Amino acid sequence: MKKVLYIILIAAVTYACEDTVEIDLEEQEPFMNVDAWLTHTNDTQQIRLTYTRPYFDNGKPQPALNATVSVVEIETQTLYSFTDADSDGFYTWIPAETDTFGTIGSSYALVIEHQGVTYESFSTMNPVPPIDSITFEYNKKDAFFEDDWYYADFWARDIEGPGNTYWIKAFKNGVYLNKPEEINVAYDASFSPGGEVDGLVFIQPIRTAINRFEDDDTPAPSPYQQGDTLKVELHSITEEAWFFLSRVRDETVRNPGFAQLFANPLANSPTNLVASGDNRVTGFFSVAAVSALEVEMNDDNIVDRIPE
Amino acid sequence: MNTSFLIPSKKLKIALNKFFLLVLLVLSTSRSFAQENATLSGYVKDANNGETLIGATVLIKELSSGNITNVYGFYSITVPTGTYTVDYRYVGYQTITKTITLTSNRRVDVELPSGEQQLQEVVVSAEALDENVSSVEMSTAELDIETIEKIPAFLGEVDVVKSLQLLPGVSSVGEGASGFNVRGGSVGQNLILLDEAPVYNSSHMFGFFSVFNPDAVKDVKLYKGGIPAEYGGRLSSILDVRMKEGNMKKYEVNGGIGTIFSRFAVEGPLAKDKSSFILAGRRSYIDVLAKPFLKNQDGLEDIGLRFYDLTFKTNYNISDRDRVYLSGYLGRDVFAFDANQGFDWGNKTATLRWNHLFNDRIFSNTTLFVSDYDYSFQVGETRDDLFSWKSRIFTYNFKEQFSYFINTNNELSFGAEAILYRFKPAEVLGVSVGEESDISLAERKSLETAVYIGNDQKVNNKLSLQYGLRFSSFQYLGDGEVYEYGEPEQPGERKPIANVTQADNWETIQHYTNLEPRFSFRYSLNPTTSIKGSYNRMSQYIHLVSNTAASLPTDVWTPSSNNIKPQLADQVALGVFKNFWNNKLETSVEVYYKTMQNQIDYIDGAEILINRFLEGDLLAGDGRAYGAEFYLKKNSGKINGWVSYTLAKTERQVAGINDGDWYPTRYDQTHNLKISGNYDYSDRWSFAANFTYITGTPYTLPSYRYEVQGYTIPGVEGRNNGRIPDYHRLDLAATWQMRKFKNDGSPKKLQDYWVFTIYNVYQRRNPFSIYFAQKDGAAGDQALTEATQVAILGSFVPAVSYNFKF
Repeated sequence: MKKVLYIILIAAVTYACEDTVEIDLEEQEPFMNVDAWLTHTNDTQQIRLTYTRPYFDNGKPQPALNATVSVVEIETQTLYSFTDADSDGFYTWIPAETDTFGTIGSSYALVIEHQGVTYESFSTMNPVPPIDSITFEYNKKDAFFEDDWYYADFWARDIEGPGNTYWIKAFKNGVYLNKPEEINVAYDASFSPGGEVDGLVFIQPIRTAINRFEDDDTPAPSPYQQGDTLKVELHSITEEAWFFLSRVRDETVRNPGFAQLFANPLANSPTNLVASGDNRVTGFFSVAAVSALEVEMNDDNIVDRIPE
Repeated sequence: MNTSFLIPSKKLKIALNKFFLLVLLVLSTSRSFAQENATLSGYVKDANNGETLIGATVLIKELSSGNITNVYGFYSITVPTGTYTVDYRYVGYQTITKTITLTSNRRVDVELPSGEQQLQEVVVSAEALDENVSSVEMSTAELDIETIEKIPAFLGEVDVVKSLQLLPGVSSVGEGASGFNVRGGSVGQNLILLDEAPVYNSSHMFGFFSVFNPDAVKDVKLYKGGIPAEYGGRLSSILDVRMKEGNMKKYEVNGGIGTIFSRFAVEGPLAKDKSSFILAGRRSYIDVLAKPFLKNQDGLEDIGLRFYDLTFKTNYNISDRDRVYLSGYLGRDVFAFDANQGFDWGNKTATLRWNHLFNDRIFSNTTLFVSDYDYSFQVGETRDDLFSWKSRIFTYNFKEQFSYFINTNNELSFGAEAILYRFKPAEVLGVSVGEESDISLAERKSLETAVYIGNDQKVNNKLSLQYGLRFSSFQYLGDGEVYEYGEPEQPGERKPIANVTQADNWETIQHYTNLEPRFSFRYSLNPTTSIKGSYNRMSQYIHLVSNTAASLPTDVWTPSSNNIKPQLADQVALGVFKNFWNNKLETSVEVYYKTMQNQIDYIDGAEILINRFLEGDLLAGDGRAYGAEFYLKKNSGKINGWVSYTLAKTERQVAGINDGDWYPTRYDQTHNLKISGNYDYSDRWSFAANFTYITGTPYTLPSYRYEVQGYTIPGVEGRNNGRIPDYHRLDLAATWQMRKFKNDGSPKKLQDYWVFTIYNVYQRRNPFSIYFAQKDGAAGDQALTEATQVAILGSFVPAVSYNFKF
């Protein structure tokens, strides 16, 4: 993708330039933001409640405290109570040592009571396919890289049948690749509904969107080197959550310069929460099963698929 | 095969019957007084090269009445028999006066010498023409190619479409944006015709250059309002580009070497005064220039960016009464990332036309054309892993037009048109590790038909009328799946699919008809002042689906269907036209008000590419646009040029966007001032300047932020609720004419000149947009959010080009 961007820059022959500007924005009344992404794992499950704040505010958001937060598995009426022990807005549920949160195929309701307002949402835990392997593709030094370079592919196959949606998270040496442009979601083995690529191995741009290219310098260092570890998680999110993350990517990745010609107008990302009365709410509730694989790059997983 | 689409509906039948009845009626009434009248008709041409002249005036002095030549250079005037003094005039040409005795119908073809070839006994008419005041036409923007060539252009590339943006009521989203906006209409609401064939994408390299080769263009006319009944199919405007026919007298070569393009055109007679041709081509050469630099750079050697176009036209005079034309256009843009990856797009059109004179008063034109617009996109470094996508629209058209010059007071035009569209929105192949998945979308067919009748009527010396009616029909045809959608939970969200059925081949899935009345009048207050007014209704059956700031070459066109209704617009315009100083100074003021229905908008996160369920992501709303346009133009003298100022507003209202309240469109420009001047300093040097001032266009501001999963998300409280700062720019150009004569005074064969341009002289970083995003670095709670203003061109752009003709 980096290459494509680079070429468009050359191609445009533009003298595009950018300036950071001060813009006065209208103050808004803060309201509830729910960040609830639960997984079918043994990890501590966490729901964060905060308030929205002015767009340019980069301090800590105000936590919403003293809320009652519960998740109910609808089929079994199992109740999971989330509590905020240290009053910081993070409400947690800690599974027993051998326990995991949730059951694949079940539906969940999230209910939050806060200052007389009820916030509700629903989600479903879908099955997830395994990650078969991770490989590192060898590439000869070229104009964009300072040396021979390697990019990673993860290999997994979309579950048969249209409408399966996934979120792929990558961790390089234990650090989550967290830039907005690194949000990697799939609709079946490809990008979007209405033109599904069903039941195949995830197609190339998705398979390889687990590589961080340092955009600032050219030539750049290789995304992965011998000895680096890479962990890939495949989350079976719902179609609603897939749409939410796609929207978040659209709204947060604002390509600079010439690409602004083809930008969409800024718009709100959807929410699947509903507040009682006339109250506002934003954020998202998701449950997902996860398959994961972690490897260290070494001679065994380096491949050279493109013949000379 | 199901042939239901061939059977006209009852409504259509009635309309057709009425139409022919009307034609018969008009024909029979005119015949009754044909006895004592005689018709003077013929073609008006350029004496130098035999090109027919569009809009030349033929004036019968004794009657102070006359006519102008049509787009094929033909005129016809029916007057009582007698002897008349007839003036043949055209801007920049010598006026020819003939004494003509009309006892019976006479054919007089006239060739006007251009103003440059001064003969001693003939003086170029000092009297400028008052066409703008006397004609019933209003809301048109016209530039001749000589004027266009003098305007300082970006990178020195003469640009037909950009030049029009210097005229009132025409604007664009910004630099590099393709297409143009007319009176509050979107880019997809302009019908661009090149020798009658539609051009779906009028830009090279996104929007930096237009696809029309100036060497092959003869005449450019933009209808913004008061659109005659013969035109239809788009809401906002008709851009009618006519190509040259080619020199009938001698061979001629035109060319130029510019910063971006090299141009070359050859034209000449195939049979003297009977047949001629023109072949004109352009090619960009950034890729050729860049090649040596990229050669030994791994990963860069196959990068390519090129665009080219080829224009061809030939014509043949079969007889006095018949002339055929064949013209074609081929243009392509190619962006190659490497040997296997990249995208490209282009238009191909071919037009065959036949002009036939049934008699001295009935002129007909038959047009057949085929147009193919396609684009493709391919990524994937090997054959085992690729994604390729091709999209195209085929258009087949048959058009029959008649002009009946009844008498000096009435000119009737009528005709019919049928367009068959074949949309192939996506032929897509996805290959992952050698496994293929074909996700192509089904072809869509549609048939658009129209019949029209219109009359230009001079009621008396003061009042002229132009009125007409167009009846249009659109059939959305099978085969393929037909989708029905339910209501979304909230307006502005994706519509769920309620039902899917299968349509037979050629089955009419949905049928729409519209009556489009057109009316214009001109009332002369005195010989230099007139008032004009117009009303028109337009319908549009195919829609450009584009939710980005500027339209992309990959934007899809989609037909009206069971889910998408045709767009409709009603416009009224009123204007005052006044000339001063013996027509040397033209002025006009026009106001317009336009309402639009079924305007297409998009849900947030609409999937507009490769999506079978695209229609579920589209919203429909209303639009309104109003404004005032001021225009002042000095036609002649050493210093000439114009000032154009537009005060305008354009808004939309769509359920699901901006809480259903009216909001300004992305191309809403409150004040738009353009000044274009030209100074002929000497025979060798001339200078030109442009100044543009446009108040800021709207953009959307965020109000709040929140974090989900470590991502900082902007919260928005409305659409287009902010304005970017104002835009202003000055461009300069100098033209240096090389010697035209040898030392002995005889003219040189090679005529050449240099053009030097500077675009954006004072280097203003004119904003295109402001966007909001987090800076690289801290993520989540501490992410630093900021606003960034983008200028597409931040510095001045100098350029030089060399142009020749021999």
